Amino acid sequence: MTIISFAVALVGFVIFAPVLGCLLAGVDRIVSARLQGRVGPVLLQPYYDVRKLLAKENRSVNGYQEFYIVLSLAFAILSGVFFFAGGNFLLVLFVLTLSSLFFIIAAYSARSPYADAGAQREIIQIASYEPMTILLCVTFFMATNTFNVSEVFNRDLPLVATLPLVFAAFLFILTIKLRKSPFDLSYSHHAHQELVKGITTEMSGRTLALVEITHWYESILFMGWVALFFIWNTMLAIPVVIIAVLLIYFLEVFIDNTFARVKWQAMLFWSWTVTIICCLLNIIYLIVLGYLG
Amino acid sequence: MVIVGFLITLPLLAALLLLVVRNDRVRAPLVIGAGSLTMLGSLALAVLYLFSPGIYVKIPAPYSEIISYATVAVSCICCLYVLVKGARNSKPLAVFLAALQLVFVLILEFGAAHDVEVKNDLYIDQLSVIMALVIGIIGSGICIYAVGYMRDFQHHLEQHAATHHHARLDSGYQALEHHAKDRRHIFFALMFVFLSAMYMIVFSNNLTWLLCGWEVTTVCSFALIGYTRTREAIDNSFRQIVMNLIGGLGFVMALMLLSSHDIKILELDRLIAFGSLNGGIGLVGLPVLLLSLAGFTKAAQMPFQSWLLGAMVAPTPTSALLHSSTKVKAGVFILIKLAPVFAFNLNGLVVILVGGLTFFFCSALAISQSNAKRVLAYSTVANLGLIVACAGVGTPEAVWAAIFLLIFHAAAKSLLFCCVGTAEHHIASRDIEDMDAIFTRLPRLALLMALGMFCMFIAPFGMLISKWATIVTMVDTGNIPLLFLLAFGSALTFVFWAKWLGKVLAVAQGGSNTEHHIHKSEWFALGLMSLLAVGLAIGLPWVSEGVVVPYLSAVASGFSGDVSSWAEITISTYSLPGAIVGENSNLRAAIGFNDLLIMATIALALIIVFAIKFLRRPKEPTSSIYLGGVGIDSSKRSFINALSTTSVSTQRNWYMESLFGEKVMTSFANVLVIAVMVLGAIAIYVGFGGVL
Amino acid sequence: MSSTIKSPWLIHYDASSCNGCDIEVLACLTPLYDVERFGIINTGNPKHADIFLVTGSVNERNIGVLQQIYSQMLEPKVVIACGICACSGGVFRDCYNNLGGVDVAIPVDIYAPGCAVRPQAIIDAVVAGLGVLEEKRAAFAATGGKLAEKPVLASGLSSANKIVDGVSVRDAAFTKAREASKALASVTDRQEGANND
Repeated sequence: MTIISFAVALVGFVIFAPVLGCLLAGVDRIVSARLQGRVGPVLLQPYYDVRKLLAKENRSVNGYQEFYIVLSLAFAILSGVFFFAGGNFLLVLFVLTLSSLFFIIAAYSARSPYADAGAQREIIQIASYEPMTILLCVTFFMATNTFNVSEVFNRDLPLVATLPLVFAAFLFILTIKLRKSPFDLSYSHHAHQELVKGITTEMSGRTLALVEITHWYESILFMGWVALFFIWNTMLAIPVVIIAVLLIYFLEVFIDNTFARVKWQAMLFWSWTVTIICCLLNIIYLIVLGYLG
Repeated sequence: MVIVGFLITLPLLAALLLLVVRNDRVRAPLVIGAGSLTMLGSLALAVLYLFSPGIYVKIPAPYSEIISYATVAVSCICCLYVLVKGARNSKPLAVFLAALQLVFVLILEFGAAHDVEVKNDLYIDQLSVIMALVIGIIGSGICIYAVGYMRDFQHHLEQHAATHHHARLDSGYQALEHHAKDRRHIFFALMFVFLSAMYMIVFSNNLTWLLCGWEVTTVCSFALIGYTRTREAIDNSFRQIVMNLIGGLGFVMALMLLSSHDIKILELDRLIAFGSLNGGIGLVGLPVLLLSLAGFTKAAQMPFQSWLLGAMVAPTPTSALLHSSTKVKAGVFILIKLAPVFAFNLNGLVVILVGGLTFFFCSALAISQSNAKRVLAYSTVANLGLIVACAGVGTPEAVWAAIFLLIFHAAAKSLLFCCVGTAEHHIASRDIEDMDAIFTRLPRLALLMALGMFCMFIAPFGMLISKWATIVTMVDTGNIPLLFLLAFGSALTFVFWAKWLGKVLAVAQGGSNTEHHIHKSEWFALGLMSLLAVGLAIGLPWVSEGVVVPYLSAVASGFSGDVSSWAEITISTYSLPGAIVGENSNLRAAIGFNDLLIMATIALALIIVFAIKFLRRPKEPTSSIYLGGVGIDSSKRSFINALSTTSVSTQRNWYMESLFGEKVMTSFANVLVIAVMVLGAIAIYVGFGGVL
Repeated sequence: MSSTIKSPWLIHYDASSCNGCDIEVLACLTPLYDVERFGIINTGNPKHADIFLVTGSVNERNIGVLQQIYSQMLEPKVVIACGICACSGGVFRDCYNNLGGVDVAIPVDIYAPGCAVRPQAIIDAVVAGLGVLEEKRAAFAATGGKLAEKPVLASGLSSANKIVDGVSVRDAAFTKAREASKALASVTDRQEGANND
C-alpha cells in the first residue's frame, strides 16, 4: 500500500462505495420482493429511506450514541480504503472489528432492554464469524505468502482454485456479516419487528441514516472480499469478478428468503464447525499442493 | 551497575521502614517517596542502558560469595516460613513441599552447585531494562495507588467488624475483629519486598540468585493473598503456595541437573547459548522443561490457573501488582529468556501447546464470569498463555510479539485492576452487572476503565497489535494448531470484553456523580497508567525500532560471539514444504513499520477525538427509551405491567454458562493440558525431542 | 417531491380492536396489495416510524400507551385512525371504559372508517397521509429542524389511576365515561371486598 494507492482508494471508496452499496441494497429489496411474488419498491428506495431519515427531527436517548455511530462509520470506511488500496488484510480486518465494536457500544449506550439484547446478539454474531475472518487472512497468506491483498493481481490462477473450501466457509459467514437470514439475529433488514428492531431500536433519524450508510460501505467491502477470490493477472478477470460478485450476492439474497432465523446456539455451532472443517481441509490441500508443486 | 544495586536495595530498605512505621500519616509520604524513587531509579536505568547492548557483570569474589550465601539463607527462610505457616494451619501438602524444597535448596547449594564456577552474576540488557521499567513505573504506581485504596479498605473492614460485633460468637464472624486489626504496615512492606525480588529476577544471571528472587515472590504473594486472614483468603494463599512450590521444585531440580558434571552451567546466558546450540535437546532438554514448568506455575498457566483466580480475594492492589506487572510476569520473563532454546523442538511444542490451550480455554471461561476481578484474572491467564506460546515458538518475531504483549498487558491490566478496585469502593460490588450506569455515577473512572479495555482487545491499541504479530509469526512458522486456537480464542476474547465495555459505557438518563470521593493517590496512579497505556500505543513503532528489534538482533547474533546464531538455527531447522515459506533470514518486526505507523496514527486520532468529545458537556437526552409504550422512567427502565403496577426491566449480560461455564470446561481443559505436559515430558526424557 | 413521502414507515398499534382491522393492515403487506411498492415498511418501532396506524378505540388502559408511542415518534409524523372504532369508538363507543376514538388521545390526521377497514382504504389513507406528511415536513424544515416542542421524557404514566391526568380532553363523553368507569370500578371493588369478607 503506497500513498498514491491509498489516496486513490480513499477518493474512490468514499464516493463510489455508497452509490454501489445503495444500488446493491435496492436490488436486494427488488429481488427479495420478486422471490416473494411481490413487485417491490423502486431501485433507489434505500436512497430515499436515508434521505428521509436525514430530514427527520434530531432526537436521541443520550448525547453519545451518534458519536459512536459516526466512529463506526469512519472505521468502516477506513477499513474499506485500506482494503481497496491493496493494504494488509489483517489491518483491514482489525479496523473493521473496531467499527463493529463502536456499533455495539452505540447500542449499549442507550441502556434500553431491546437495544441491549440486540447488542449481545451482535457480539455472538461477531464471535461466530471472527475466527473465519482471521483464518481467511491466514490461509490467504499461506496461499500467497503475503498479507497484502494487492498480491492477487500477480497470480496465475484465481485464489478460489487454491482456497475453494475457505471460500465456501467464507460464504457461510458472509451471511452473518450481510445480516441475512438465518443469521440476522441482532437486526434484520427484512424482519422489521424482530426484537422491535434489535440493535438499532434506539437509533433514529440521522443516526439511523448513518447506520444504513455504514451498511452500504460494508456491503461493498465484503463484495471486495468475494472479488479477491476471483482475480488473477489477466483482463479476463474483470468480467469474471463482476459475474461472480453478482451471483454471490444473489445467492445471499436467495438464502435470506429461503431460511428461517436460527437461534444463536445454532449459529455459533454451525459457523464454528464449518470454519474448522473447511479451513483444516483446505490447509491440508495447500500442503499437499506444496509437496506436488 | 550501581543502579542495579540501588533498585534492589531501595525497596528493601523502604520495606523495613514501612514495617516499623504504623502511623498512616507518616506512611503515606513514605510510600509515595519510596515509590517515586524506585520509579526514578528505573527511568535512570533506562536512560543509561535502554539503547545500549547488554552488559554482564562479575561481582568481585568475596562479595559474590556473601551474596550467594545470603540468597541461600533467604531461600531457606522462605521455606521455613511456609513450613511453620503450613504446620499451624494444618496444610500437610504445603509442609511437605516446603520441606522438600528446603532439602533440595541445601543439597543444591552445598552439593553440586558449590563447585560450579559462575562467571557473570548480573547483567543488564534491553529486556531486563524493559522489565525494570514495568516493575519500577507500574509496580511503584500500584504501591502509591494502594495508599488511598488501603485507607478505604481498612475503613470498610472496621465498619464491617463493627456491624457484626454482636454476632461475634457466630462462627463465621468470630474472627472479624481479629481481621479488622490494622496490619497495613505489613501490607506495604510486602509490596516493596516484592518489587525488590522482581528486580533480583530480571537482573540475575546467576541462576541461584534468580531462584532466591523466585522464592521470595512466591512467599510474598502467599502472605499478601492471605492478608485479610479470612478462611477463604488463607485457603487460597495455600493453594497459591502449593502450586508455586511445585514450580519452585521444578526450578531447583533444573538447577541440580544443570550443575551436574555433564553440564556445569549455572548462568542464564550460558544456559541459553548452550541450549540453543544443541537445538534445545539432549542434556538441556529436561532441565529446560523443568524450568518451563516453573514458568508455567508462576504465570498461572493451565492447570495452575486456580491460584491466580483464588488470589482475587486479596486487596485489589495485590491483584494489580501480582497479575499485571510483577509475579506472573516473572514466569513469562523466564520463558521469553529461554525462547531461543525452544525454537523448533519438542520442548517448544509443549510450551506452545500449553500457552495456546490456556489462551483458548481461559478466554472462553472469562465469558462465563460476572465478577469483574475474575474476568480480569481469566483474561490475565489467557494473555499470559499467548505470551508463553510466543516464547515457545522461539523465533525473533515471536519474541517481539511476546515482549510487546508483556508490556501492553502490564500497562492495561494494572489500569483495569485499579479501576475495578476503586469502583468497588464506590459501588460496593465487584460484579459487572452492578457496574450498570457506572458511566453516570463515576464518569471519569468509567472512561479510564473503558480505555483499559480498549487497550486490552481492540485495534489500534497495543495488545491487538501484539496479537497481530503473533498471528503473523504463527503463520510464518506454520504453527497450524496454534493458529486455530488463536483465531477462536480471539473471538472469545472479543465477547467478554465487548459485553463488559458495553455495560461500562451505558448512559443512564439521570443519576448523580459521586466521583469526588476518590483519593488523589488513586487518581495519580490511574492517570499514570492511562498515560503509559496510551503513550505506548502511540509510541509503539519507535519502541519497536529503538529497543525491541535491537535487543532481538543482539540475541539473534549470538550470545558470546562463538555460539552459532539464533537466526541460523531457525532457518536450518525450519523448512515446511509448499506454499508456506517463512522468511526468518532477515530479522525484523513481524509487522511492517508502515503498518505500525498507521496503527499509531489511528490510536492518536482516536484519543484526540475521544478527548474532545468527553471533555465537552454532553448533550441532554431528548428522547426516552422504548419500553413497549408503557415506560415510566428511562433511567430505571420501569414500566407499567399488565396488572397496572410497576415493573423494572433488567437486562443482564449473557454469560452462557452452559457453554463456557467453569463446570463445563475447567476439568476437561486441565486434563488436556496436563496430558500435553506429561506426554511432552516423557518424549523429552526418552530423548525424542530433536525430531521436530 | 421530497424523499420523505417516498419512504413512509409505519407503526401499527392495536388499541382495543377486535383484530378485524389488524388482519386487514397485515393484508396490505401481502403480495396482493404489496405496500412496499410505495416504500412503505411496517416497523415495530416508534422511533423509526413516520406514520402511526391505530386500530380500535381508546380506553383507560391504552390511552397512555398511545400517547407514549406518539411522543416517541420523530417529527414529521402523521396519525391515521384505521377502522370505525379508531375513528369514533364504533360499536364500543358507549362501553363503560371506552373513551372514544383515537383523537381523544392524540391528534389524528386521517380517518379511514370501515368495519373492518378494507386494505384499499388503508392504502388510500396512507397515500392521503403522505400529503399531510409532506406539508408537515415542509413546515418542520422551515423551523430549521428545531424541536417543535420540548420533548416529553417523563411518560405521564405513573400509576393506573392517574393515567389520563394532563390529557387534553376533546370529547365531553370522555369525561363522562371516565366518571362512569370509576364509579363502576369502586362498586366492583366494594363487591369484591364484600366477597372476600
